[in-house]
Amino acid sequence: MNKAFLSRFTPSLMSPEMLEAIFVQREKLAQRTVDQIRDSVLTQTKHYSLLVGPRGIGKTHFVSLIYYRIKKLEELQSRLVISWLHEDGYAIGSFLDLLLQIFQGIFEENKDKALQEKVKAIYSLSPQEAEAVALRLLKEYLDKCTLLLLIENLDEVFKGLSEEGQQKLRSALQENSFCTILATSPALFNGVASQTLPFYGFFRIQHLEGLSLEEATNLLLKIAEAQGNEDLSKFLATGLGEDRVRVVHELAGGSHRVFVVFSQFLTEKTLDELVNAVMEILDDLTPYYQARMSYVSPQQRKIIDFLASRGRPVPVKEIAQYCFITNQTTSSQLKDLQEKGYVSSESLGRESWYELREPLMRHCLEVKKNRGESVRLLVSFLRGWYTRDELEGKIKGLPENSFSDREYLQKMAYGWDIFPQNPSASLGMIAKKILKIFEDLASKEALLEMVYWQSVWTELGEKHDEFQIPLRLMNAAVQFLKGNRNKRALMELPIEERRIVREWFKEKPK
Amino acid sequence: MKTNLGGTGTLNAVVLQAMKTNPGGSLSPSEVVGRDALIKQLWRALEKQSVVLSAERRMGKTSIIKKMHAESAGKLTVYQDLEKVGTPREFVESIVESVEERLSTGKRVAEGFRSLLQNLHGAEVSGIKLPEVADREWKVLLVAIIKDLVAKPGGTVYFFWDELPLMLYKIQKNSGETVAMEILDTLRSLRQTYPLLRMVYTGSIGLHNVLTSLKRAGYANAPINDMKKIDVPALQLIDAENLALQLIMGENIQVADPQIIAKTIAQSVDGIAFYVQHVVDRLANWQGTIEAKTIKDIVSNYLCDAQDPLDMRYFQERIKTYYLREEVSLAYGLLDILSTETVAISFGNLANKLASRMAIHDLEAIRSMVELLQLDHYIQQNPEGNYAFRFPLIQRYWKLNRGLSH
Repeated sequence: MNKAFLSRFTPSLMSPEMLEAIFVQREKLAQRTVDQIRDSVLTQTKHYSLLVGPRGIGKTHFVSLIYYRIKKLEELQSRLVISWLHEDGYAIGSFLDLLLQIFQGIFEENKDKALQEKVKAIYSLSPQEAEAVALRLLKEYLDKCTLLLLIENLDEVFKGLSEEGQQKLRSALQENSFCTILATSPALFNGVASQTLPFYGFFRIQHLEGLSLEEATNLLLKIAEAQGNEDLSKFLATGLGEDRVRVVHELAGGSHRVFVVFSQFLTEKTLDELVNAVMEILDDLTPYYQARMSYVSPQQRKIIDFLASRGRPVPVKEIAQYCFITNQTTSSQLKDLQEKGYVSSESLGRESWYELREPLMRHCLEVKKNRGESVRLLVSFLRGWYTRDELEGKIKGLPENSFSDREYLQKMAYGWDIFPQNPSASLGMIAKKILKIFEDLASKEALLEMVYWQSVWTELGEKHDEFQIPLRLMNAAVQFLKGNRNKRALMELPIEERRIVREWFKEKPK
Repeated sequence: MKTNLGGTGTLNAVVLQAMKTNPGGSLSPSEVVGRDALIKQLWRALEKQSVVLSAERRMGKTSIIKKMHAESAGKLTVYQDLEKVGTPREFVESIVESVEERLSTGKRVAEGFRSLLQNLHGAEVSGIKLPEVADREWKVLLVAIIKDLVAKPGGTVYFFWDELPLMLYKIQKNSGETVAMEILDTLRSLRQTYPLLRMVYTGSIGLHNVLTSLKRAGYANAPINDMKKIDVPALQLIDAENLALQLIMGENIQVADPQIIAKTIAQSVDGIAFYVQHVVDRLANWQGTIEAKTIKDIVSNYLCDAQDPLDMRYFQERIKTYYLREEVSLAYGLLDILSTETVAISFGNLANKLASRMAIHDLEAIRSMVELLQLDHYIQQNPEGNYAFRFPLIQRYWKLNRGLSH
């Protein structure tokens, strides 16, 4: 088997071939970005692009891919100088630091010793003089070439530059037209969003979306193909394969990184069985999610931890109360966390309710507290729920009035000869089947029958772990209808469960 | 049938060149569309006097002066972005640097300046940065460098100073109002002294905002009364249409009738080039059929998009930033009223409507605010004397964003 190197956390380490082989979702954007860079190199026009998206959304992969595509364009090479400021390893506290980092990036590209010597000489000057000399040297070095500046985490760079450094950078760009920029940031930040700061309205901002289910399946398929895993490729191409991926998609929230990590645990067998593969992802991603906590302030960490422990959306007031922070501060911290992609919100009347955006992050942070049992149950449930099996067809094929026939439903509930003596694996299957019937009642808003069967199945199933999630969904659905479609009832559920009940009622989140 | 215009085309007998969209980026001079007449007007004005170029943000001031600078064959022009400058010494420094860079024989041109600097400093100054003595003696040094420059053969010297108001704003904050006033006075005096010196002031905040705050601090001079004020309007609709068409071609966007789409874009954004760029940029990523309604939907979505891709929030925030605290509610009140009007209204009508919303103690304060809002390009007065928003698009945004739609 040809196992090409696949980096889970540092895409820039991958070969251009691998980057291309597993590239999904953004081909049109990539082509436009290359066109814009070509335009910037060959004409006086200069494009400045900023890609915004949370960590793990594929920004570094994208930048790496663009880098290699540009390097391949022969027509540009005599007129292009590249400097790539990688996401780690730079400390920028002033415009001078930025200039020196740009030179560092140029050395890495072209190993120009003469330039290196000239830059060395800058260190003997005063900072003010050094800055002016460095800028002049850069202009002279570029001559008629265009600098392609690749900057990851522009928000951090701008923070280091402060307003004064940003003003100097903008002036340099305006006066010289010598540079095109492709930058990334995990969220929009003041430096580009505040109208009093120099770079307001300067960048062409592209918000990167997470993977859809189809794109996620495509990514896994491409990885399987690139690594020569034919069995897995075949399985992924089946409906069942897509069903399994859907479970991870529900948990991962469209994060590229999670799917790349996930791919490493996959074979046809592990994907089908799923529970252990997800447990392995959790194990592998825990340090990553813990590291993500280091990018936020202690107060924000506290909020994230609180939301993880709640496991469902929480209104601002309640978050403020339990974190001992004022409502106003909590609101602004949550807004910041939302921009950074950590939390998502839903409006309920005039209130905003917040929860962790990626269910997987919540499970990673909580996994040690319950030894992973709740995740196993959840994955097991979702695996069953999202499997398109023959029962679904059978239920949908029944005449309209069959579901008002209580006798029939009673048979469904009591008639399983395997229930309740059978092994727990079967209980999960039964719970799913019962829930499928309940789903149909819910979609018809047959409240009386829903209440009746809720009580029957609560009595029969409440002692069994496998029934906990289905019963939660039933309760929420009943409360939702009883309250005249009051969405507050749905807020008792975590995001991945809420989505299921919403589908029953064709409800859209606000 | 889909039409692909390819690399070139014509519209209304104008040859069109395909261009990539570039909202917010730096345009090549050849891509600055529909500004030839204005540029001619500017050069004509500059034959006689210096110019203050004003316009609302995003109207293309910087692109215009950069185009003038780039296409000024035979003229000595200096373009500077003064946003980086925060002290008079830095101002002089940046002029010296730009002049020396613009002229390959820079050092010789600035001989008088260098010799004066050496005398003041007591030793030869070799670096790019000026010594500390320039903090005190910036005025004589500024005069010296300009004197050196205009003394050289070759005719008129043109300075295009972008973000000059921002520089003054910073100097006012860093060194006090008096220094900012002295800079303005010195520049005026230089213009009076040297007939071959021309300056173009422009920037993203209005110069009048800075002058108003200096007047509050006791400044009584008129530092720009010798300069011609020229306003940058939005593009003529036909030019905006040409621009949209060129961008559609450049992005290879497949549409049934490019001219209808281009016309709709131009009309939907009141001919403002920056917004034309944004709309076509969105079309370049569009999945599905593009028709006139698509354009209207895109613009409507832009106006209520929380990410504010058109930078519309600026129109509200700049008032909070540059107006006095007590002026903010008055400005908001007037704009709230005008945003809901379908036709221009008289001053009396406007004042009456305002009185029904807030206590009015001084009609003159309203007059002054109406004038300020005109200077800041929010509103305009028509020949009948009635007031309305200058751009219907901004009126729509204001109404939407302030919750006044119903």
